[in-house]
Amino acid sequence: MAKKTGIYVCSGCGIGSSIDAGKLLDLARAANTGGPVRTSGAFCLEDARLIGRDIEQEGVDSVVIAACSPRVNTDIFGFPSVFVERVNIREQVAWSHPPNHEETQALSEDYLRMGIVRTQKSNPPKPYTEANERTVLVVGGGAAGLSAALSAARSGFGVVLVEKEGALGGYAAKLHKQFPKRPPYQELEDTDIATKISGVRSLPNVKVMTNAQVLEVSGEPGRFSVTIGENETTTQVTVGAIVLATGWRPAETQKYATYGLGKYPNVVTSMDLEAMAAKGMISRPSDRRPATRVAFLLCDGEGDDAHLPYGGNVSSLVALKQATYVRQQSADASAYIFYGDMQTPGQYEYFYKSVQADPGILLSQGQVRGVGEDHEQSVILEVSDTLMGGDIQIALDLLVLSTGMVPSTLDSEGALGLAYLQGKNVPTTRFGYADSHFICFPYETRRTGIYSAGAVRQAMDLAASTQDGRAASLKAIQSIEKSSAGQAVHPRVGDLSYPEFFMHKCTSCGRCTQECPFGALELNEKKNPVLNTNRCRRCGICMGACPVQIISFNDYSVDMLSSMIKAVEIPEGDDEKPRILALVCENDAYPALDMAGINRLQYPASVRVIPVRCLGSVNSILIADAVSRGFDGVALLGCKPGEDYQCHFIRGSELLETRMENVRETLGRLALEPERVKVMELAISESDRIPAMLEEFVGVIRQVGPNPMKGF
Amino acid sequence: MATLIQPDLEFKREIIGLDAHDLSVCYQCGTCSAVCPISTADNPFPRKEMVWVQWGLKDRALGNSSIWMCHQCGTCNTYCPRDAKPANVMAALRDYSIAHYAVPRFMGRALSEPRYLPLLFAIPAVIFLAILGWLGNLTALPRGQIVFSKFMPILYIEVIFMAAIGLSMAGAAMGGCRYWKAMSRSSGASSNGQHPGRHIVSTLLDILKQSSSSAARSRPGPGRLTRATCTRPTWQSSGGLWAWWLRRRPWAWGSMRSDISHRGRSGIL
Repeated sequence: MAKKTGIYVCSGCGIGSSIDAGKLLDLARAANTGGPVRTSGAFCLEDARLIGRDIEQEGVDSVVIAACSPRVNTDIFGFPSVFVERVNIREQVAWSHPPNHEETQALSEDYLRMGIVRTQKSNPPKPYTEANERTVLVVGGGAAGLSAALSAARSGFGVVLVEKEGALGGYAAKLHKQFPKRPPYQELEDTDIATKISGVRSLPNVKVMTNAQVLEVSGEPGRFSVTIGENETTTQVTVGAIVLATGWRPAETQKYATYGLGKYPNVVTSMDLEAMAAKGMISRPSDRRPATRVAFLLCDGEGDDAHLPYGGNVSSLVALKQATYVRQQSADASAYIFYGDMQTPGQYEYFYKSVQADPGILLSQGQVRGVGEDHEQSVILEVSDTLMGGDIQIALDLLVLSTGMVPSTLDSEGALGLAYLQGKNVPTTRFGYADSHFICFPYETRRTGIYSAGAVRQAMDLAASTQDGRAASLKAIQSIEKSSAGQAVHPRVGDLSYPEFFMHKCTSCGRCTQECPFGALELNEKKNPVLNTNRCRRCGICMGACPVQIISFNDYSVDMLSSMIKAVEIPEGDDEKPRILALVCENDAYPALDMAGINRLQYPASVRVIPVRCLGSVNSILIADAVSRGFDGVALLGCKPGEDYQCHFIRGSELLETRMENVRETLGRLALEPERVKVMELAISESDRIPAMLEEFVGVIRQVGPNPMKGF
Repeated sequence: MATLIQPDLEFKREIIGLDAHDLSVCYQCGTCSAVCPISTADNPFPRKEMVWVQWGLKDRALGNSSIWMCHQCGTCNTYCPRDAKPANVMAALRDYSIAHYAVPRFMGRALSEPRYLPLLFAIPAVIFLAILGWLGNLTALPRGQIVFSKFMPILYIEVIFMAAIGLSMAGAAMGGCRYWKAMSRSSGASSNGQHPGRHIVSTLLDILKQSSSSAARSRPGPGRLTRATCTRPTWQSSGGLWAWWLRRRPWAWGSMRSDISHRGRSGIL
């Protein structure tokens, strides 16, 4: 609890000409927080030293800085030893509302009151620090896994590399050649997997375990306890973080029966052809004669309903690569490639172009109509939707199916055997890939400290897997380092707070353990929740879920938010001054509001914004509090839920939706209109939508009329 | 019914050799057809010709009238994102067609390659020198008043020129017939149940009345062609008349139209 709070009201950047800073100072003095109250034309310049001096000499233990958005000037106002509350009276007051208007003034005063209350309700952090194991477990010894192991070991971390086969290398070791990696990106290259294997073998801090499998993982980042089965024996190791690089497998061959795979001997998969090329002879399996007419089908991707619902660029490149194998074997040979979409991203475009330049390689779009065989066992391929006009048939020595890549996480219960309440596998999307916030945090899984890399994360080639392994190892190292310092890893990097449970009041309902998107909470034998702090991402979804509100952070709690709501002054008996509470996701919607201010977009001054860590951290009791306080409406601004979610904490917006049903029911019981509470999706890029969105909501509230509970 | 195709890579290499080195890099995006002033929704020119040549489909590429519609404006070359130079490929195809269908064949070949140019000039020169030599006019010029017929009698000239005209008309007719048959073979002339000859009369009438219903004019938007932009270059181009009645070409595309109505992909054609 803050004892001595200094309050600083800045009047620069147009704040002073928009609102009466003197009145704010009066309000600050009246709050009697025990610390100095100061104003300046620009606290971000030399006057920042005034705040520093107050902290050092006056014993100020918390500061309220009413100035710009907390998203800017973080270095200047980052006083590490005290609690800092930034009251945003620039972007969200002075820049987005009419100057010198009584409603604008009232808004700034409410924000200052809320800031002071927030400071009073916050406690200093008690970082959770324990000695961490500086070892990375890498599961899978293919291109990505080897690269991750090399990278982590060279960074000075211990590595345990677990490979289920007898030899390292994975699929990379089965390839004849790899795609061009060097300019001018035209010549196929040898795989360098042998170099990587010997590199890993030569490093003293890498422990390689082949014919081994991870049987169980328990614990938390920094202290995962891992059971590994190796040749009938089990070993127990402790590791700090895990890289999941278990790779891929070709899609089931029975899925390709319509293409004659398994029926006609001369229909093979791309892996079969790779093996033939590695042996040095591409021939017809039926009679061992060299194959001179070879067609490649890209049979993954959308439109090929029987198979994978997605297509990667890898199969396109594989077909191009293998077409050159055919041409290199014989000058008389022709290779035909039929594709739905030819995907050759980045520098691979040069490779595509160089393959095309060979007159013996013919490419066309096309849909396969049928596959048959003639009397010589040559394959007869029938293709429609080509650009040649009409359906065509073509006789072939070999038909090669570029089969799709399936992540290993799709099949089994996972290669990790997680001893987590929420399941043994890392949560996956419906395609089997590890679920993560793909745009912002691609390597992360929904299990903190476990990072996926390579083809298990996304269909990718050798070069990309190598890079991916390196990237994931850096994430693993970051996780070890951050959790050693008691800090959140991501997305709230550096956050020292974590949820604490007031267990006396716990009803053991288990909702927090169910709703945590990251499986941070386990149940003990009494069915009480137990937090694995380093697994936690500090989103507060458990705090939003708890029906008895026993979950709090040192600087974020239901009590704190509720007190901030109650700090707002509600004008009574004035229909022209409605009050709307906006609980705003601080990851996307709050910066969008700032941007609206930066662009000087004007929105209603009746809206009081409280940033929340995630909409999922909004406990339904807060809405009840707001309504009973007299707010006429409550807006919840957050990210898009659902399959293409934008929520940084995966399920926050989705969980809020389910809670809203209860809220609307409660409103109904109180004879209040359900229109008073509205969830709005707002992406970070959509600041231009804000004025219309909020005005529309205010319009609805005006129509519904003032909250009848005002003044009670 | 699907046709069995047999890619003729030799043909592809020959076209490449006719100054169309870049045709392989075409990735069939269709930009050429989008910008081509004579391309229509049901005749994606020169895109389909590009893919035919890439796949060595000689019969289709040669038995096809569209290449003569092209007035070599070069717009496709300008806009091609891959520098595949479709206009050069069309020129190469025309070149190849002339050599391929010409009667006698060696004349077509000689006309399509610059290195035979001295030979082509040499043939009439030798004939005339031979006649002059036979008349004895090479060694001594005729005396008296200067009259051309004394040097080269009119009858000789008439016989030679009439024979040349006769031969070239016969050659043109035979070449035309061969081309006609090739088109019939490759696109199924009888598919719409009408004899192509029927269109000659109406096409000629259109030309005379300058009221063409050219399909090229149906292109919508600001790029819509007026008769002036559409017809003048065609008139000026060598096979003007030829091109005009071919432009009617419903027999040529009657069958193709149904073939290219693909689901999904037809939008970009």
